Amino acid sequence: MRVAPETVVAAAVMVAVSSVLPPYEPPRMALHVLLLALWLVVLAVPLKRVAIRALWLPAVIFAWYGGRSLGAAWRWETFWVLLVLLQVGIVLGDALTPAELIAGLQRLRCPSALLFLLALMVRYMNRLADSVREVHRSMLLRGGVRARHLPRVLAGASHVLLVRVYRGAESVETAMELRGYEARLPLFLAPRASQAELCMLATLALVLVAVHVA
Amino acid sequence: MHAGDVGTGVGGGSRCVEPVVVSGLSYAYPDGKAALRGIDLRVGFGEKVAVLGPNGAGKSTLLKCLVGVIRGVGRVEVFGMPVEPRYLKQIRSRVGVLLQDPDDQLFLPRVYEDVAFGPTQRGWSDDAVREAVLRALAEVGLEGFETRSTYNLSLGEKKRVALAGLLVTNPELYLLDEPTSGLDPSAREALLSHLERLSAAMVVATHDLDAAARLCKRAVFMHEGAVKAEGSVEELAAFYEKSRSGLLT
Repeated sequence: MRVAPETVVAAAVMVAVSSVLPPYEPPRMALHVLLLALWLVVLAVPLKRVAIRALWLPAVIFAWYGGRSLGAAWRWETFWVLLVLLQVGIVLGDALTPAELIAGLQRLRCPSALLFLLALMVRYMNRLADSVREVHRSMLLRGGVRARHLPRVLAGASHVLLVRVYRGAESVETAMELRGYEARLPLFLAPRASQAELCMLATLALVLVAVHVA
Repeated sequence: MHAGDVGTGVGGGSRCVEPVVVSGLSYAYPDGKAALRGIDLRVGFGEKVAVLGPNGAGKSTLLKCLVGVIRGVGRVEVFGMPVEPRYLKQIRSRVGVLLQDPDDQLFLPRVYEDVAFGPTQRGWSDDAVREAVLRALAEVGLEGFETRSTYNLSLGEKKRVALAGLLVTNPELYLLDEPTSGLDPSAREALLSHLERLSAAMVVATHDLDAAARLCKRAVFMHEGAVKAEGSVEELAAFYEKSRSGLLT
């Protein structure tokens, strides 16, 4: 089933907000887990993959930080909030391409300026990664780096990358101006939400409100 | 006389005004090195002019001056409007610039949105944008590329998408900076065949003599920031040899 990006994003926001709102009682948390699982099934995202990816990071953070400064109750609540937010983030990343995510946010009336920044980030992240790889490869081809020289070489490489990014940003700004930039984001292509999806969202909202009121 | 008083008047509303009039244009980089020295150039309606010359001759700098990316000293008019901040918006709405590196030009994640950028900024309706984008992509032979990532395209495809981004707003003047650089023969051929079909005025900065000869009847040869000769591309080919041998002064 192909779900429209705005449906995915809206459901994600609703489930995330509802899940992280206190009080944290076991039956309520269980219901949220059930809703998350149901959502994953609807989006056809593999449950096992999301569970593995979403569990290890909060577990590490919890193990590292939780035992030190937080009380026993807070530890579980922190873990729960981290788990939910990560799970939702990972599901969004798995269910939507970056362009679809922008399309979803655009239809939910997110500010154009923010979406432009997101679009530019998506577009140039790969290019930046290419630059990092090029610098690394060129170091290896020139004989690698000795451990004692590493800080100086890394500082130099960071400088090169920073200059490249700055120049790239300047070129993009010029291109945007030449193409008549007026802060209007083009409409991103993606399937539109069907009536059934809108009904599903409304039902989800009602269920979540009922959970909190009950 | 004010530069803008030439022709039929500032604003460029009349079709009688030449697309490009450059007279005595000079420009120096911030470090003081002269990039352009007293350039004179005129381009008529529908005329295609090649700007030839070795690397560092000032070809790209001249194109940048024509759209106000940098400002030199001298008279520069595009469609009768002096290239000054208050006219830049009007000028740029009638000029399509193809940058040398398409990665700079294609700044949105997917092909459709990138080509749709220009019409969207002009406030076209979504339906009009969609129709124009699909038509422009068809013109450059890239039907079905709408949802492709701009990052994953080949260089030739990127150049064609960048060209579609210009075609979509139907500019009256094209400024092309090294359009064929880095392309393999088939990608070069595909791009040139699209460029040959354009009827609008064109200034092509290149050192691809074959491409220049195919696209332009007239050419100027630049060396060290100055125009050294003007004529047909074939006539000016010899100047490359002279510039390499240091015989050009």
